[in-house]
Amino acid sequence: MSRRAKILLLLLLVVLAVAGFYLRTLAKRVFIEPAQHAEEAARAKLSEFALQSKQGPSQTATLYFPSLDGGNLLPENRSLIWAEADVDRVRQVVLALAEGSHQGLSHVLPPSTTVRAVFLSPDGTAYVDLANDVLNEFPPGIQTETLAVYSLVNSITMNIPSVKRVQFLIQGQEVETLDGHADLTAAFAPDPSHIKSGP
Amino acid sequence: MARVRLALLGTNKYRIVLTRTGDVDTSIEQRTLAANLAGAHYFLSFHAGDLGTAARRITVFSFQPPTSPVLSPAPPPSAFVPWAQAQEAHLDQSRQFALALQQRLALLSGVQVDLPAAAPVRALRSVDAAAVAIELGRLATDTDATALTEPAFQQQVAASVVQALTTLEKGGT
Repeated sequence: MSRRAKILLLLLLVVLAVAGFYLRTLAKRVFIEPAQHAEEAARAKLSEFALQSKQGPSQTATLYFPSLDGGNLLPENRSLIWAEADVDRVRQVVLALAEGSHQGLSHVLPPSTTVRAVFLSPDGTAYVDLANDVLNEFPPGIQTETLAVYSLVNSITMNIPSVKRVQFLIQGQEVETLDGHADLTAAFAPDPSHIKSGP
Repeated sequence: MARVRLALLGTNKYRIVLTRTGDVDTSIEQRTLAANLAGAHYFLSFHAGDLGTAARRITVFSFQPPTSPVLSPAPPPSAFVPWAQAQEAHLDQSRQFALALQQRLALLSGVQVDLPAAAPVRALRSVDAAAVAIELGRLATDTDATALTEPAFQQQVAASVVQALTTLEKGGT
């Protein structure tokens, strides 16, 4: 084979390799990522449905939002139309917290929070599986993480009596910490000591 | 941390083991392992965090297990301590340590010092010694952290740590 033919063959191989890589990337964009987005969108729709359930009478739920200046949780009443099943009620509480305080208290979770799934075991442990967007714009620190965790745990357990403990999962996995500080390896029991008592 | 180390070395009473030197990524388990292998009597973990609007604010945390020990079934007697529960044998000591630190830090002027708090701090969970985490704020992402990095302030914090340890060693809080 002449030198020129060898160079042409080499060039052809390079072009084929680049084309192959491009086609693979394109296929991933067209077929795989939309499927993931569709899955997330379906979950978000499910979340919205749970939050906006229109059946049954409206009831008052007490949500606990952090007050960073005070270093504690403050109660805030919210009118909710409870879903039938307790797992949907857990989802409602989480999404109501993600919606944010109506009284100017600190955020617990970003508004974009997606609840991937909720499971309730017979011993009263609720497994709350959050998407990793929960960590978006999360303020750093021990206090912020601790208040966020107990905001969720206290709000869930004090409004839904069948839930005794809450175990958090992120993207379906057990994780060591929320964002480097709060230990998420075990289920949390409610702790009223983080709630500000009295005026 | 370097200032605390210097202040403690100046007393000629303590041996100090740094679980992290420089800006290197060290896992929580590696830090805990370093402390436990050294047979630490006291463990201090320093953090910068968002503590609200106060310019200088300090909170001292001791460990709080996520699930109340009352709810957990009592483990059978064993000579071995489960790694994940090592701190639970030191909860009272850690609370005393946090209180001693809070009382000393509260004497600093221009600093808001909260009452000691208990929190499920992952960095403390497996430490086999009296252990606390000291969070200094505020350090929100949009906030200037200069107030926390002034040498005079850091020196005051270091001196308070030494005084708190000295008080504890004498049997008081």
